[in-house]
Amino acid sequence: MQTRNGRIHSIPYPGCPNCGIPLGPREISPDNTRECSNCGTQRAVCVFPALFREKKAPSASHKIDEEQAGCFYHPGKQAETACEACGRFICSLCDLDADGRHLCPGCLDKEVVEKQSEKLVNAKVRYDHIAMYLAVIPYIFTFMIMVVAPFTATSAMYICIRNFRKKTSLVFRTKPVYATAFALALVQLVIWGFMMIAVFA
Amino acid sequence: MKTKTYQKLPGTRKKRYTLWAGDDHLLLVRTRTMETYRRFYYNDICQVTLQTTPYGMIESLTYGLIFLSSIVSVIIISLPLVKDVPSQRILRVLLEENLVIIFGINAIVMGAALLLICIRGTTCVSRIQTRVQNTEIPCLNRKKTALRCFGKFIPIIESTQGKFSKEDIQREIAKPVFQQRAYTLPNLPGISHAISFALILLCGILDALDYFIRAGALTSFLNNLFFISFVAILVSIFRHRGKRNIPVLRELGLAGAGYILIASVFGYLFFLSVSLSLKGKGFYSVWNSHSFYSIEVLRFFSTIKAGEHPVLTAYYVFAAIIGTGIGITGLYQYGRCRFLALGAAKGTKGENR
Repeated sequence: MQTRNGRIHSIPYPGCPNCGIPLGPREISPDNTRECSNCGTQRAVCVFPALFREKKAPSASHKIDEEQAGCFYHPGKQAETACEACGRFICSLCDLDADGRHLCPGCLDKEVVEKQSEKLVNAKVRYDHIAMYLAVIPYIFTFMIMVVAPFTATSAMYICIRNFRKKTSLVFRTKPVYATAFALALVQLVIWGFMMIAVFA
Repeated sequence: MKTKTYQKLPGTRKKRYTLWAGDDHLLLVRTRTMETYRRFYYNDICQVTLQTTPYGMIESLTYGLIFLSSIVSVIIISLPLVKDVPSQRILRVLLEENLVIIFGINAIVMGAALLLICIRGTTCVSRIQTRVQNTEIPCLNRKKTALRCFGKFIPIIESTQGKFSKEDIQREIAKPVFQQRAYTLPNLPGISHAISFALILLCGILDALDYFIRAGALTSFLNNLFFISFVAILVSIFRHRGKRNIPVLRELGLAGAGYILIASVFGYLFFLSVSLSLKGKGFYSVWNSHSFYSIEVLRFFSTIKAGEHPVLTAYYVFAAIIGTGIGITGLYQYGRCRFLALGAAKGTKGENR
């Protein structure tokens, strides 16, 4: 872990976030800020038991006995549990905690790729934003409606219809954005139609 | 009824970041065309820190000084001091009224900005630390909001992990593994900082003096002093570029550099155009007869009386107040940083614990 001044610490400890000086127990409080006696920075620090918890790395050092089941990935090691997705026996090293479930590395990869669990998703494309940009930008440059409206409006409407029911954000509501983008795209098409009639009629 | 998985936590939408509380984790969301997520499980969070930064103070100082100079300009222009020249009376009255309106609007805008900054409170950097990452939370960049947000999610973490009493913490950090941690001594601010702030202060004082004592030598000296101060600021920022323990001095130095640029470039142009228009000479006639930056031009400037024109008065008020303000604040902060650093180096650290 690297502090702001470039110092490397192997594990976190209760210290000033600026200079890294170890803090006394009275200095650890989230409710009010205190001035660091070393660097003068005002800071509030709150520590939790996880900071002092000794976490042992899982090991697969237990050798298998004749009567015990072995790990699917490490045949010489004793199996601790079974994968909740595929049912294969796995050792403690291969036992991966995914959203409270015990999975083997293969199944976890599969879940991440297929994004079956919301808690494994790291990024989502905001199609509602893309549709909104396509629906709004031609209005900003009015002359663009004449040229690009058929493409932008139809693209925006296609994106809205295709993704309306999909959850493209974990936290924000997307349906109102899709509805607005669709309406704006429709108006864009109507304006373009009137323009075409005015020009060619 | 459909229940919400995530609950929005207080915070600004700085850089499009928002913080949400889930059932077993905090979710930091960055929303652009691609929405990215970062999770901090309640069970893994080791510590939450908040560190105040000087950026809000610098902002409020800048806006405050401009606000003050605008107010003083309005007052001085309205005084009979600058209305003693009978020639071009109608034009002058119009100009002065317009200037009062311009400076009045400027004062209102700056005052509103200052009020907004004061309401939003001190700026800060908030971080969430786990065993493997120490992540800044950009949306919690105000102390007031950050503490309000901490008040919402810290009880959830404590209900998940259990609460630490002061005795527990004392017992844990008394262990040798935590006592042997090395820490960094704060950086000692260099003398170049003090020199640059002293020069800015001198610029402000001499600007005020120049308003009353009109002399070509003083104007010339002041112009050279501006240039020297600018170089001194650049040197101090360059020499201490890696030291992040003293950001307040760096930011104040940048504010000083901005002040010098505005005061010298705009001031010079305003001075030239206004003085020429007052003396009824063509701009190019003076320009051609003397070189642009020669002593003759400065001597020509110094023939103008103090308070002869409201624009010049406003310029001097602006330059004197802002220069003096930045200089004094810079020297005070320099002294404070130096005192803390020397105190830490002598081993007085931890006395107030």
